[in-house]
Amino acid sequence: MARSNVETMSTVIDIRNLSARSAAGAILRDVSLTVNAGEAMALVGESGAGKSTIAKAVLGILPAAIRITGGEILFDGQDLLKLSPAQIRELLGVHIALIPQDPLTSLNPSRRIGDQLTDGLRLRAKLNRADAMTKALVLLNNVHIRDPELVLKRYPHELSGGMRQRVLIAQAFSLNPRVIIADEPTTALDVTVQKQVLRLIRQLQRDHGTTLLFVTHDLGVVAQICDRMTVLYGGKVLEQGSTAEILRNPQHRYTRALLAANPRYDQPEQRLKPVPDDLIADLKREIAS
Amino acid sequence: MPRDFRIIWGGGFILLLLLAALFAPLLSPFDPLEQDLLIATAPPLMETGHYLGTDSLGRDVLSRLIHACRIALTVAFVASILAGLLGTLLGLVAGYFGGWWDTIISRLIDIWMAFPPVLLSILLVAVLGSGLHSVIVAIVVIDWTRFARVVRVEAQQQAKLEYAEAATALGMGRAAILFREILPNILPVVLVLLSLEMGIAVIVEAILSFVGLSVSTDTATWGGMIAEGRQIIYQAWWVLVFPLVTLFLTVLAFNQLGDGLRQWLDPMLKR
Amino acid sequence: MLIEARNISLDVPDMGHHVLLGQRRKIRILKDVSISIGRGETVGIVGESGSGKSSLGRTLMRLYEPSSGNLTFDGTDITHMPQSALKPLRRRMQMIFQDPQSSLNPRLQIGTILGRGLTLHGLDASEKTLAALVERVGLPGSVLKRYPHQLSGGQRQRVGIARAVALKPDFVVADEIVSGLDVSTQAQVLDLLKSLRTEFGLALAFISHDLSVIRHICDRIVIMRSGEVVEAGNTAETFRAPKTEFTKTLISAIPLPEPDAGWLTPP
Repeated sequence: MARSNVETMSTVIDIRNLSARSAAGAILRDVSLTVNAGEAMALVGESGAGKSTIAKAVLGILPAAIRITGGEILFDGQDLLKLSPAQIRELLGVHIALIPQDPLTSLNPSRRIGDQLTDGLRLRAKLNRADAMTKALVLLNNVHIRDPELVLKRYPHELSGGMRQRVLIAQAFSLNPRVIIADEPTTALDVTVQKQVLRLIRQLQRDHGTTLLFVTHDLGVVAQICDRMTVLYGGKVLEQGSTAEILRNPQHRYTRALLAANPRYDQPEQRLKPVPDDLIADLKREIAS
Repeated sequence: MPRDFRIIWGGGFILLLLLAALFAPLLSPFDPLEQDLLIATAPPLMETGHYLGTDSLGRDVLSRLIHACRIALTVAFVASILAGLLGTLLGLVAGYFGGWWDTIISRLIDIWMAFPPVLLSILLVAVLGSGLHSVIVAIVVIDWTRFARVVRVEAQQQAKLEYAEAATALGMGRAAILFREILPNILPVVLVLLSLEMGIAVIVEAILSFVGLSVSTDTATWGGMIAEGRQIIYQAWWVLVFPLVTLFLTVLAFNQLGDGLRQWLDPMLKR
Repeated sequence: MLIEARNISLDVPDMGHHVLLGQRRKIRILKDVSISIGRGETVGIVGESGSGKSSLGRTLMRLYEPSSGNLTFDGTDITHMPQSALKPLRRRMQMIFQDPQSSLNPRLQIGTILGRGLTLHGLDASEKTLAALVERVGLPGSVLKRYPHQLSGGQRQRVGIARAVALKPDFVVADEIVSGLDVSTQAQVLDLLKSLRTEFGLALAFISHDLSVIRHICDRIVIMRSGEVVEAGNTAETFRAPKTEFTKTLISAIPLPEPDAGWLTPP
C-alpha cells in the first residue's frame, strides 16, 4: 500500500517520549510513535522488548508494579495518562478496545457467550436485552460463526480456541471503536486458524476503518496484516516505518538479525543465525546510555 | 531466612509456649495443684505473687496456665504429625496410583467428611475412655482426611507435570518418582497444613477437656480452666479470661505461621 | 531402522465419562500409525493441536502403551514390555519436553536433576561430569547449583537437552522444544540440537507445529491429523509437491515475512 500523503492523514494515537519503570529497572525508554487513522501498526520484538507494556499503557491497564515515569499518550489530542480511572473506563470498549492473547482466560468460564457479548452493548450502547441479543447475532455473523443462535447459549469451554477468539473479536468490534489493540491475538492458535482469524481482523478493520495497534513477535504476521511497524528492544524503539520497506531493507542491525534468526520454509538452505552476542552487548550499552 | 512478620510472631509465640511447657516446673511460681481455700478467687495482684490471680480452689492461675501448655502442645504436635503422616500417605497413594486405590480412599474421605467432627470426637473419646491417648487417637482418626484430601489433589496435579514423565523416561520406578520427585513438591503444602492442624488440635483438645473428656480433671488444661472459669465468671473473670486469651493467641499463632509458611515456601516467589 | 512402529493405535479412558464402577469409555487418539526412524536420521512429526503428535512421541518412548500394533526398538519388541523391563533400554531412548518449566522439578537443583539419570543407570555423576555436560550445552558450571526458576526459558531448555543427552542415547524424542522461545533463542537451541545429533548419531523424532522449523531440521516428515498420518515423505519433496490438500493448506497458512497482498484474500 503506497501512502504518499502521510502528512495529510490524521493521527489517532500519538505516543511521545513514553518511559516506564518497574522495581527491576526501566521497561520503556523514551518511546515515541504515532498511529494514523485506519492504519495497522505493529509493535514487534522479543520477550522483554516492552511491546505489551505499550499496549497496556494505552489501555490504562498496566500492573501496579509498573510506573509511568514520563511522556504522554495522546488519543485524539487528549493525554490518556492525565485521565481519571473513571474517564478511562468511559473510553474503553467504546473508543479503544482490546483483542486479548488468550481466548480462554479472557472469557468468564461461568457465563454464557451471549451474556458476555452483550455486556458492552447494554452498558454502553444502552440497548435492552432483546435488542442487544439481536445485535450480538449480527456480530457473530460478521465474524463468520455458523449457528450464532446456538453459540450465544454456549459456555466458553464448549467452543474451540478459534471460535473463542472470534467471539472476542466480535466483542472488540461490537461498539465500533476507533482503535483496537490486539495483543498477540493469534499466538495461541493453530496456523490454519491463525490465517482465518487474521483475515477476519483485517476485513473488519477495513470495513470499519478501525485503527489497529498489533502486538506480535511474528514477523510473518506483521508482513501480512500491518501497514507500518515499530521494532523494539529492551523498551527502546530501534526502527519504525513501512512494513514493506523495513522487511525488504531493514536499517537497524537488530532488525536484520531478527530476520536472519527467523526460519522460513521457502529458504531452507538459509542457516538460522541467532542474534549475535556482540550486537546484544552493543544494544545493551546503547540502551543504558 | 524468613522475614515474614507472620512467621516471626507465630513461630516465636509457639516457641515461647514450647519453652513454657518444657520448663513448666521451673517457670511456675506455684504448684498448679496446690489448693488454698483461704485465698480462693484472689484477683491478679503483684504483691501476692499470684500475678494472674487464683481460681475457686485457690490454685494459681498462671502456674496452671503454664502446666496446661504441656497437654495442649503434646496433643498439638503428636496428633497433628500422626494425622499428617497417615493422611499424606493415603493422599499420595490415591493421587498418584489412582485406579482402585483412589476410588477406595476417596470414598473413605467422602464418608468421613460427612460426620460432624466435634460430635465424632466426643463419641470416639466416650467409647475409648477419657485420657490423653484417646484425645490424640480421636484427632488422628478424624483429621487425617484434611491432609489426604489436599495431598491427593496435589499429587494428581504434580503427576501430570512433565517432570514426573521425564523421570519415567529416565527409567525411574513408580515409588521412586512418588517419593523422590513428587513428595518434595508437596511437602511445603503438608507443612502448612500441619501448622493449621496444630491449631485445630489445640481447639479440639480444649473442647474435649471443656466437656471433661480429656485428661483427669485435676490436671490443668486450658479447656478445663475455661469450664471452671465459666461458672464463676461474675466473681472472678480472670479464671476464664486468661486461658481463653492464651488459647486464642495459640490458635492464631499456628494459623498465621501456616499462612506465612505457605508464601515463604513457594519456590517461585523465593529468589 | 532403530525405532519402528507398525500400525499402532492408542486408546485412552474418556475422563469426561463418569461411571460408578468398572471401565470408562475409551477414546482412540492414535489410529493405525506407522513410522520408523533410523540412526542419524531426523523425522519431523507435525500437526495442529489435537492431531496426536505428542501422544505419538510418548508412545514411541513407551511412556504410553500401544493398544494395538507393534513397536520395536533396535530389533527388540517393546510394545507391551513392562516398565521394569524397559529400564535398561531407557538409557538409550530419551525425551526432551516442550515446557522446560514443568519438565524440570522445581524443588531440585539443576545438578541434582542432571545427576539422577546418571546414577540411576550406574553411570558416573561426579561434579566434573556434570560440569562438562552443562558446558557442552552452552551453560556455565554455576547453573548446577541453581534452581529451575532461576534460569531463563532458553537456559532451561538447554538443561532439558542436557538431561536427555547425558545418558548418550541412540534415540531422542524432542516434543515442541522451541515453541515457547524467542526466534533468536530458538535458533540457538536448534543449532545445539543439530550439533548433538551429529555428535551422537541420534535418531531424532522432532515434534512441532511449526512447519518452518521442521523444514530446517528434518530429513523426513510425517504429517498428522486427528490421530492419523495424512502424509509422509522426504521433507524437501513434501514441501515442493505436497501430495494432499491438507498439507497444502498447512503450508500455505504460514505467513512469510514478505508482504503479499493476496495472502489474506479469501479464496
